[in-house]
Amino acid sequence: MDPDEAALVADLTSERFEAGVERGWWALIDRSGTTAIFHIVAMNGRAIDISLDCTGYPGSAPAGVLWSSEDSNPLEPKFWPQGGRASEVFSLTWSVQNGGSPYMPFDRRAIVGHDPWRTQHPRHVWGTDKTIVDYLGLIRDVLRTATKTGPIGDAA
Amino acid sequence: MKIFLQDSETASVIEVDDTDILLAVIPLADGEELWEEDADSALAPGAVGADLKRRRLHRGRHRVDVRVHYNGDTKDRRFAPGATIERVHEWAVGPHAFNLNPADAGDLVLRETGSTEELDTGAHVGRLAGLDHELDLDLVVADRFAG
Repeated sequence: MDPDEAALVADLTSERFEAGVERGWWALIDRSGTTAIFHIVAMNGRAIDISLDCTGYPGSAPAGVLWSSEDSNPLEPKFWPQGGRASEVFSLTWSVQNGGSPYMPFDRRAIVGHDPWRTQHPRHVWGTDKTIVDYLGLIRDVLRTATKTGPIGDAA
Repeated sequence: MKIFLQDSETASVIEVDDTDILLAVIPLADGEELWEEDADSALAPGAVGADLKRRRLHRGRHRVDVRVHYNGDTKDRRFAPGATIERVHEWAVGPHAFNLNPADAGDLVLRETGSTEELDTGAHVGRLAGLDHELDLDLVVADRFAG
């Protein structure tokens, strides 16, 4: 097992990750090497799946894309959560133009070209003090602001 | 079975059997009790692993007086030490506290007063308060990512 995969697996067995699973906040659906797919459920019951490419973890931040587990493909933008902060993080402009990446500092693709975020939002910039749980937690926090999700993203 | 245990200092995972009397297998200091996460009262003395509705416990002595500050106003309530920050948020934005509409409430997060760090929503108030009986929190607008 490569070091980045080993580090990811270690964090997927951490107390913080497993406590979130036990609470029903998130679940690991599938993992292949350093790519992992998660189901995330917000406080208000809204739910989404997200695929995280964790190549280089934890030295490099995860790169996410909203996921349709039914289709085994990225979730079509018409089904993305929208409303409140969700409309900004799952941007129908920037995210659509950038492979579906969440528009937030934790994301490996989104931080590129957004250097001011490092000083504006230091607690949401990836670093050695962050883990996959921080990424999932922010997505879950943003998801609760959504007023609309498509049929695939709705909680069961 | 795995039990997720928090106290005034740490968060850890322990293993117990369904038939174990929890007060017998989880070490407690004088005056300490076990509380299920987000429950209002401590576990009964004879509770066993199989009795738990949640596999998440808090080990502590005191309830915590939580004060939440928002928009120049303060609301307070005494919580069991195993109450999560998510539970406190739910109360703070709800009809018994600041009574905010869901759209506004969703954009707000809790921070310890004087801190710029957002709190782990799974953290227990008894852990954040440490050995104190009081906890001051600010309800603030979450970071918006623009530019």
